[in-house]
Amino acid sequence: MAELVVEEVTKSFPTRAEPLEVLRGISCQLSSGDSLAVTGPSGCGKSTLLHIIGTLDTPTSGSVALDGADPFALSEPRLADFRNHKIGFVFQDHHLLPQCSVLENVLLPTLADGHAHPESVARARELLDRVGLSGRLDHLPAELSGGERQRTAIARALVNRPVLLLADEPTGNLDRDTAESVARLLLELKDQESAMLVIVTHSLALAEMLERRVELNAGRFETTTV
Amino acid sequence: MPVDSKPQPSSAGTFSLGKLIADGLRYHLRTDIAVALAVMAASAVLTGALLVGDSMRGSLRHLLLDQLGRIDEVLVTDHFFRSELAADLAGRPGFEEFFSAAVPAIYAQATVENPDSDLRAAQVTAIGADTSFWKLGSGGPKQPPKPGEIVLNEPLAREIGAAVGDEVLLRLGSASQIPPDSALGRKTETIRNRRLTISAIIPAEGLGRFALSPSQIVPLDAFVALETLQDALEKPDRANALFVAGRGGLDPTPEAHAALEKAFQPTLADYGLSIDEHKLGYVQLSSDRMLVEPPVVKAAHKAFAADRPQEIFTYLANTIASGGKEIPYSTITAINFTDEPPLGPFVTTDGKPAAALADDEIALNTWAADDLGAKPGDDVTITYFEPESTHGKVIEAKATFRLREIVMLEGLAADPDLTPSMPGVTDQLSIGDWDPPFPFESNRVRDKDEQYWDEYRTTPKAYVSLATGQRLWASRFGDTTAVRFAPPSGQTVQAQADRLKLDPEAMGFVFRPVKRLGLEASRGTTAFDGLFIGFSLFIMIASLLLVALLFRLCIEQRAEEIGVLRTVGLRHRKIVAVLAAEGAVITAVGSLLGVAVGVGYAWLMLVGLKTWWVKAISTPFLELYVAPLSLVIGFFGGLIVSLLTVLWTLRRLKRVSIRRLLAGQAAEDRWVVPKKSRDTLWASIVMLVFAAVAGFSAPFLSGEAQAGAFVGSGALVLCAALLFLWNRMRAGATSATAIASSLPIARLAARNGARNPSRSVLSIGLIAAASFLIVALSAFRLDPAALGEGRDSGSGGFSLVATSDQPIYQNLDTPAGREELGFAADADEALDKCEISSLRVESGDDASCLNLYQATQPRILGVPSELMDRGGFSWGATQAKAEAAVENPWLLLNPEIPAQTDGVAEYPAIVDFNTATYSLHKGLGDTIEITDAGGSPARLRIVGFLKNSIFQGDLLVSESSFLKLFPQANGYRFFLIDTQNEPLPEVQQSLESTLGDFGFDAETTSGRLANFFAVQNTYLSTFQSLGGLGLLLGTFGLATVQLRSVLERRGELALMRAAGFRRTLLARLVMIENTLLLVGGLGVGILAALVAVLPHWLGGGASVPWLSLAATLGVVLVVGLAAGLFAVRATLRAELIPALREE
Repeated sequence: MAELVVEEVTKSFPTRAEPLEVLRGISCQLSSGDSLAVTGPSGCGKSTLLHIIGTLDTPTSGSVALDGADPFALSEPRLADFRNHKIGFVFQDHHLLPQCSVLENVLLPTLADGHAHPESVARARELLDRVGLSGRLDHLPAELSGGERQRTAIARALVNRPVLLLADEPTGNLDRDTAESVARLLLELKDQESAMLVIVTHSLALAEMLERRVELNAGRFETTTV
Repeated sequence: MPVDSKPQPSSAGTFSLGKLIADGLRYHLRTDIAVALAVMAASAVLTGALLVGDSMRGSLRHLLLDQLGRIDEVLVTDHFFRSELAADLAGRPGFEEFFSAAVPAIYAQATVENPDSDLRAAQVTAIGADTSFWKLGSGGPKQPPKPGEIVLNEPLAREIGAAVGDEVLLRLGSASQIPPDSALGRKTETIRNRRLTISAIIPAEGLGRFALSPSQIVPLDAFVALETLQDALEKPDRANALFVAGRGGLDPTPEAHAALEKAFQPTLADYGLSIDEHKLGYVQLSSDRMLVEPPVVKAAHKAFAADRPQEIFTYLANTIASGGKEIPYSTITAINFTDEPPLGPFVTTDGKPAAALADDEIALNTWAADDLGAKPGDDVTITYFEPESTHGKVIEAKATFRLREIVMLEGLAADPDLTPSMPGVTDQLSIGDWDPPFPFESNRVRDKDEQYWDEYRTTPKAYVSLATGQRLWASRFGDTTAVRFAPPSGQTVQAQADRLKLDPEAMGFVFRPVKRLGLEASRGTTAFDGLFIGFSLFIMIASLLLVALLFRLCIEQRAEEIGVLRTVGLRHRKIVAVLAAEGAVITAVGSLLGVAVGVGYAWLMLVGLKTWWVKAISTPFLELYVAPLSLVIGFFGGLIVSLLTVLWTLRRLKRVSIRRLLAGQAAEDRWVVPKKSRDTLWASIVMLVFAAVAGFSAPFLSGEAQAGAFVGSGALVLCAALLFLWNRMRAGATSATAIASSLPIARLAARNGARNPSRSVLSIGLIAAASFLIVALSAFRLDPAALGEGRDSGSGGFSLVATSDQPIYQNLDTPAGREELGFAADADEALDKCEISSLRVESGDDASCLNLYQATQPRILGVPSELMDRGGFSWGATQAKAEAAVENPWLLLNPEIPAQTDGVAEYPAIVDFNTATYSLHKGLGDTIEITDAGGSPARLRIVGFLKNSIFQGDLLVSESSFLKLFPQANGYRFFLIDTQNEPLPEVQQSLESTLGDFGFDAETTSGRLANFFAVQNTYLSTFQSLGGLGLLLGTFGLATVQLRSVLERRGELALMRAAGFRRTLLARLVMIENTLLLVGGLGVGILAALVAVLPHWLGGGASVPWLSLAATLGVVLVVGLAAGLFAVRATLRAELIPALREE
């Protein structure tokens, strides 16, 4: 059973005047299968929090522990390995590599080992089948619709069976129907993979689909809905 | 996300880092191509420079092999040996293993004159040879010249305006047996003329450009039949040169040379020696040169040690006087009397054998004693000419002895063979018929003297000890006229001759392995590949800068992609490896293309060297040679340097956070917090102070030191300006009203430039540095007029420098000397006001910057003591310590005795600094190995450097050192003329016309210096031209920087557009930013350069090609502005919404 423990995380940025505090003591805890939506006004620090949880950024103070490990105590190579095996990301702007096919984009995390093993290839095919893109394996991102690109990004995030799935405005660039289908897909896969899911979103509809919801305001969690 | 080109779909089921690399290369093909082109430029320049070096070496080698044909070894000697010696040599065992032919010839320096056009050519190589000579190489006439005919090469024919069928005059020096510089040597009528018809004019190719000393400058060659020169020089069946051909296809080796030396065995007749058995029972070794050379004497003592060798030295006594009476023109013999026959006894009037004479004693024969009425104990005074003449003038000297005894005029004492043969004297029937080369008062000759001559001919009238004779009459030419010995009975003369073992080299018969030496010399004095790498440095730097900027641009365009790779957990090193691998493929392709383009670049450089820059190489002889090794080095050199540049651009990627990468930012936070820094401001002020100090102290220096001070001053101004700019940019302009003031767009553009002070100052700095160097180096251009004409200048205050083909023995600086040479009265009057110095010459290789071949043994000049005492010329470093030598470094040439180290004689020498440094690669105190006239090694130690002098290419020793090294060199062949206030053209004309028979050729010292300086100035021009090209390429780098800046600010620019700014206004903003950087860089660089060059130019110390520099920089400005349009285009085409969304 994997666990995510975030304790009193703060984040501030230097400016010409005083440092700008974006996060002021954020704490939360998740276990396998849990899902959490983080909402809040623009610029409140939602993405910053997600990046810190996903080890893409470092906290000014506080700690993050995932699966019992403190990732910020690791060296850069070990941290990369940690991220590769433990965490999956889905971004608002899918960030697919334009020169790689759908299958290759999904297999991208497996290149941390140098090349994709046959098992990884099978896993990627299976994921793409589950997201409904089995017929588009050789297509390039330019040939996909917005929703299809996002589904590819979701499959990529899951290829290495991460314990934690992070999504930053995954439906922000999609129309309502596509956004709903992508949201449902995320949750289904989260359940199937028994992963923890944290979504940062402006969408109340999406937030309500998750088990828990917190609102980030003035650098702190204001409300918690279970 | 940038879309560069149509990507290829991947094959499903396989995915690896290699596939990712291939996909990336394909997708970003446009930028890959741009990077590859930049790599191509760097690689092309490197390859091209290497190929220029190959072409130089290849062309020099080709020229050498062409002009020598099959000739591997050459012997040229001042002896005239039997022509059959060549056949003897070819028939010797061991010859055929390495060589195929030996051809005799007469080789001489000559003057050719066309009486129809009145044009004359000096420094002509005249070769008299038979038809076998033309088989030694290519390029000969259809028919070899017959007696009475002459073949000219084209350059010679052109110089004298002659055509086939014309008659020309060939003038040569006579081949006198007796050295002209000796008192008894002939000094007038030393030129032989022949009128010959031109039978053919041949191209200057193959043997048509034959020369012994390698040079790319085309020689002037004249070819005649061997008989023609034998006849002209009165040397029937004789030659003074041997050309030995190799076996073809074999590279000449030291082993071959050793085999040739072993096989070469001249006879005594070849050396001009003879061994004769006399009816009086002795055997006598003598020479047709009157004096037996010291190596022969030494060898004779060794060979005939058991046969009681007896040296004899017979000389001419102008007068033998005693008791008020005198006898004119008698021979006197220095000999150590011996009792034992057949070499003695000389019997006295007492009937006893004459005893050995003390050094102050003399013996007379009975005839002389009776004529003088002298008896033993009386004083006898001998008057004679000092053995060596000075400037053709003989000086009389006297010596007084005590008469020891009177010798009976019989037996050995009545032997005319005690006196060596002297043509014009000893072969005359009477004394009155003498045609001697020395002052002769025939009216002193009495009837009884003629009677003595009739009866006793050259029998000596007096005797002194050998030591006395050698003390009084020895010269650099020798101190013995014969060696007598008593051979074992029954031994034939031939057997005796065979016992005498002579070293041909010691006798001046030295084979020179001209082909092997020439091939070594064709490596060149200057590594042209290194030189052109230096010239092309700016292009290479600009190309690598472009590689870095373009690759960096590529990385920034892929920031998001890199962020994704890090997000999904690929290690940073792996990501760098992927990008580096892409970079490696791009650089490999670019480098390969660069190698191909490099051949074109080399070709273009050679075209430049044969046209605009031809003064650097004197003649347009270069051909393109492509050496595979250079292509390989060019490929790998370009690849490695470019790859390192690519890796360098990736080094900072690790510091960029994944967030910024995902946001499309591949650099750290671009927001610069303005800082005021007094430190950098003070640093720039200090630099300005130092610049002022350097600038104001420069006028007190001279030459290159002055130029260096000015350039240093300019460089400091440059650094100060850049520091100041950086300081201002980092301080930040915060005034809000700046936006509202006049020229708001321009001010905004200036403020944008200050956003990234490091990048902006770097851009400005690189352009400034390049333009500064290109302009400021003009300070080092040399102009003879600027260096002055005084005594302390490179010309030493002399206005003319001249050479002659034939030695001039008379003193041009005296009326008597000029009268003897036939100067007209008015010419003599003008020359009397001039100052003329004459120097000795030992011919050698041209070691000046005009000759691209490495000199093996440079020409050596013997400086007379008068010139040394006069002083003058411009000096660099010397070894002078004593005050007198510090004041006049010429005195450093004056050691008392040559130093001996390792048994090798060492002499002090002075060299021009440029010759020592760039041709001979020697420093102060270093030694230069040479070979003296006897083939023995000797060393010249450099004791001082002349600076920018007319003596470039020569080694200068004192005249006394010179005569020890080259005793056989007679007369003077190098002249310095100070015309004082006399009109220079008239003086030059009168010298050349009167001394035309000697091949006298004068040029102005300023013209000579201009030729030397033209080489250095051409190199500077080449650097400036190629530097301009590099600067041009650098402006593309600037445009790339601007493009990157635009891409970084695309959000802001989109915002400005959303706020209502038109695209064209934004384009103008970007264009102004680019222009400010470009103009700023050029402006700072030119300003600093003007600080460096202007005072130097105004002071007359620099020669600046303002027009070409202005043109170069003008082109750079125009192209730079045009290149900036790339950034503008990106601005115009940028999409609004995506940029805003990212922002």
